[in-house]
Amino acid sequence: MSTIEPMAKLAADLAGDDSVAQRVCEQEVNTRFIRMLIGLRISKKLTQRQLAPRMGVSSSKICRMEALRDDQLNWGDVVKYTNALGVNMSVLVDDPSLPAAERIKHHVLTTHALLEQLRALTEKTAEGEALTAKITEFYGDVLFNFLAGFSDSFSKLPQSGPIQIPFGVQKPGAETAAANGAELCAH
Amino acid sequence: MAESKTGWVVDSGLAERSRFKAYNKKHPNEYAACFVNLDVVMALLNQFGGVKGFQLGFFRSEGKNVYRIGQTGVKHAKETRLFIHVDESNRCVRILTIGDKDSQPEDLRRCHEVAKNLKGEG
Repeated sequence: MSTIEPMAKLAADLAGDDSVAQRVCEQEVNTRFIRMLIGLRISKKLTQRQLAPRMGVSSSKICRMEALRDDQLNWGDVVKYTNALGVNMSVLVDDPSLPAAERIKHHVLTTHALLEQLRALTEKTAEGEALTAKITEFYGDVLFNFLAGFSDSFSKLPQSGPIQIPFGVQKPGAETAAANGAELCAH
Repeated sequence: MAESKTGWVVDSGLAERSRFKAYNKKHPNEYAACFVNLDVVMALLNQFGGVKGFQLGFFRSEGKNVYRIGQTGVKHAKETRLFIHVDESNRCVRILTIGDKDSQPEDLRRCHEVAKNLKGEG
């Protein structure tokens, strides 16, 4: 649920005009990306002045950039901004005209790649067992949330029978993963 | 009083409603943008517990716990100021008035008066 709604209603109430709420919601949508970037900057405890030299621009340039709508943003500036924050940016082009199945496959593959990034951390860092334990716990959270959502959708299928898992076409290790998943579900 | 997310609340009881109605009629997009930015400020107040933890281009202190919120994301915008009073001890943001640069000195004078009265009550 959008959190802007109470504020939109308040704005409409003060103006004595119900149509204001819709306008506030539209404005929120039009500035969602830049507000996410601002949130990232603040979460990194950086002011515009501190970020400016990292981007190689003036702080007033950042001020102007943060005052734009998403559709007015310059791609190069966005890349500089995220680089200066030290965050990775990946672009997901989600084509709603593609079948849902194709889009789900894409998300599954992306999720796998991200899980692999996490696993790789356990090999690189000196934190060893503590980090591995945390990541294992997180894997559990991911699996739980996935299964909860999956189970909810699956239960709504008409006359849903047992799921057929095509082990024959999976990569090696998939059966083990499925078995581990089943084991975790049982717990 | 509208609750925004958790903790901090927005109080519109002291708002000059006639100014809000008039301003919305004249500059509807700027009006909407200010409330989107107020929502951002509320989220950050909830995150940081006060105004110290964050810096935003559209959020400026005017003294005596009065702050102004400007519009962003509006093409060819009329510079707009939504004035609020931030009461950290009660975790409350009071909406006071809205105006443009021309009315700013007079708006600010009235807001400071309200803030002074609030301090007296506290």
